[in-house]
Amino acid sequence: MLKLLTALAAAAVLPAPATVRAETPDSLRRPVTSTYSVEAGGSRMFDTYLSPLRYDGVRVGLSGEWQKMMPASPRHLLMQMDASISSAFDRNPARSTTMYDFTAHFAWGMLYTLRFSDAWSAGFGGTVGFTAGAAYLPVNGNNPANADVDVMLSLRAQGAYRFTLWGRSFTLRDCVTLPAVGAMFSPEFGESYYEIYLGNSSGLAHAAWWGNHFCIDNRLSLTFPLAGRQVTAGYRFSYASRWVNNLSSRRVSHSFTIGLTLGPQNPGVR
Amino acid sequence: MKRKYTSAIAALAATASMSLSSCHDAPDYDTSALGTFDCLWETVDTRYCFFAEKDVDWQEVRDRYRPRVIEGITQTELFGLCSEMLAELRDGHVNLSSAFDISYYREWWSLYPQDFNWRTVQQYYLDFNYRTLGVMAYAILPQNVAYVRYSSFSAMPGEGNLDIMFSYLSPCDALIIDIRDNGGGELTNIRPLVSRLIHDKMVGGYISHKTGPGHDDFSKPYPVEYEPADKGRVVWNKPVAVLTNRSCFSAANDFVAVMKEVPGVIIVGARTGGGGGMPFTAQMPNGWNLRFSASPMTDVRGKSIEDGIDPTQGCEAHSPAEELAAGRDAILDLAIQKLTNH
Repeated sequence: MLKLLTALAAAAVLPAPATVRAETPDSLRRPVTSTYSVEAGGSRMFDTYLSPLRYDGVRVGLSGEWQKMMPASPRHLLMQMDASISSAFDRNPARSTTMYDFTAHFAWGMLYTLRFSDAWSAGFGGTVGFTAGAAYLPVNGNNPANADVDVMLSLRAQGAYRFTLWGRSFTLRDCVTLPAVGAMFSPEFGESYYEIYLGNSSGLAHAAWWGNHFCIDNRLSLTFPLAGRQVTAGYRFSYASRWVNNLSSRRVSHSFTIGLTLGPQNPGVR
Repeated sequence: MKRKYTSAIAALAATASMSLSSCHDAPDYDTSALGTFDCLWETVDTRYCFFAEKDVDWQEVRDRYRPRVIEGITQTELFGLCSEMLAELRDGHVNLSSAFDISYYREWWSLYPQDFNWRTVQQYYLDFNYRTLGVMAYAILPQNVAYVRYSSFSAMPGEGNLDIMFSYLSPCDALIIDIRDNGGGELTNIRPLVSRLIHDKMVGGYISHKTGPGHDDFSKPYPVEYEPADKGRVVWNKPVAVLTNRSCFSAANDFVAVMKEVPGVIIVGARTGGGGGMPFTAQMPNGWNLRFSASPMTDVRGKSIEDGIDPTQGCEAHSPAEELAAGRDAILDLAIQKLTNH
């Protein structure tokens, strides 16, 4: 699945020979906007497979986002790809142990964008995303970790406001992603990974929807020039919860993000 | 008008997301004595797997113990009270760990004779002359019977080490695997040893798990299969005796359940101590850790092994302490006799 997505994404990002015109390279007509960020902030989580308690601490991560207008509709169709890895270190209420969370995420999506004016634009569309990770509680004996894996089709909306201040160009952007339907993995209520290792795969894969897998990811960012570079700073709210097989988990984080943007601040706007 | 619609949609979305997310909630226990007690009781109530086998009315247990969690109770007192409550389950896999103590239910072995003294075996049977591979010791007895002492399933020698050991023992006519006082360890460590002693793929028992919080919410039993060692490995195909006592617990108990089904293997000694449920761990709000049986295991006939496994018919034996002190191990003697009379 990941290979297919990567191939699709690469095909969309890389210049297609059939559409390249000699006089104007594709990369100039439809440049890629890339943003590479680090993030850090507060984290709260629980996973009832591992523990009946709630944990809180910090989450740190790295992310990359790539955007490009599509040749089929260079004024409206925006392709987006994003990838991230993050890790949380959350303490139990007694502050005696730490629960760790490691998560990797990749998504590819397409947005239909509208430009209301030179300043305002909005986009609506969908993504297909893959998440793989695990929560890890070292003090547990036979149930020290629980995997968190899903493939989701998501709704995505974003709005951008471009303005000039002190003679410099700024872009304020908010992007909300709401996974809607897909599939996810979960062990059964008291099932050990040893039993899964023995080959019992019954009840592990589940259809996912808002009723049993509710997530939201909101990224608010401001991109501005600084010292000859485009800097993107912002805030990210991430909420991911699952309720399946009588097990419940939730990961919530509020993070500050900072990174560098390469290419135009707003894809399709020169 | 437009603003009204926008507000209505926003309110609807907020309500929908709040109601959806509220389904995904978890209990919020506080770190007080009562919060800790409630968390512990509910964790056992929803996740413990042997209420039927133990015939314990857990609700009645709560009604008896909860009023004793009074204002001002110290952590030590609370620990004692919770340990006492957990002991009602009569399960050696149920422990409460704190910074100052770990609770154990010990009666599964303390009420029974020990039937083993490693010093006796070393001195009077091995003459202190044996080879060691970590948790394994091995030697050849004067009757040309191989003797392997496996003290803990917490570790297992590597496949190459097992090859060397079985090659060394291969001239012998029979094999004794002495797992008395083996309190268990990793279930996965059973496999390398079993694989040397079987010649065909076999089902050694069944495992199941809880599918929900109800006391009777269990999955269908899933077969635990064992396969012979890979080609090229040194295997054993002569008679085997496994020596047991009441202190064979957990993974050692599972090993006995499997070995009892292997053709040419006899179980000699006393009934094992049980521990037929794979334990899980859960943290309590005040930082204590609770371990409890979560996944029940059975033998191939579907019989619970939680209360232990009997020796093969005609092979029950005990080694009284006074005999052991005098240099005689009746269980080991019986095994040698059974194997050499084959």
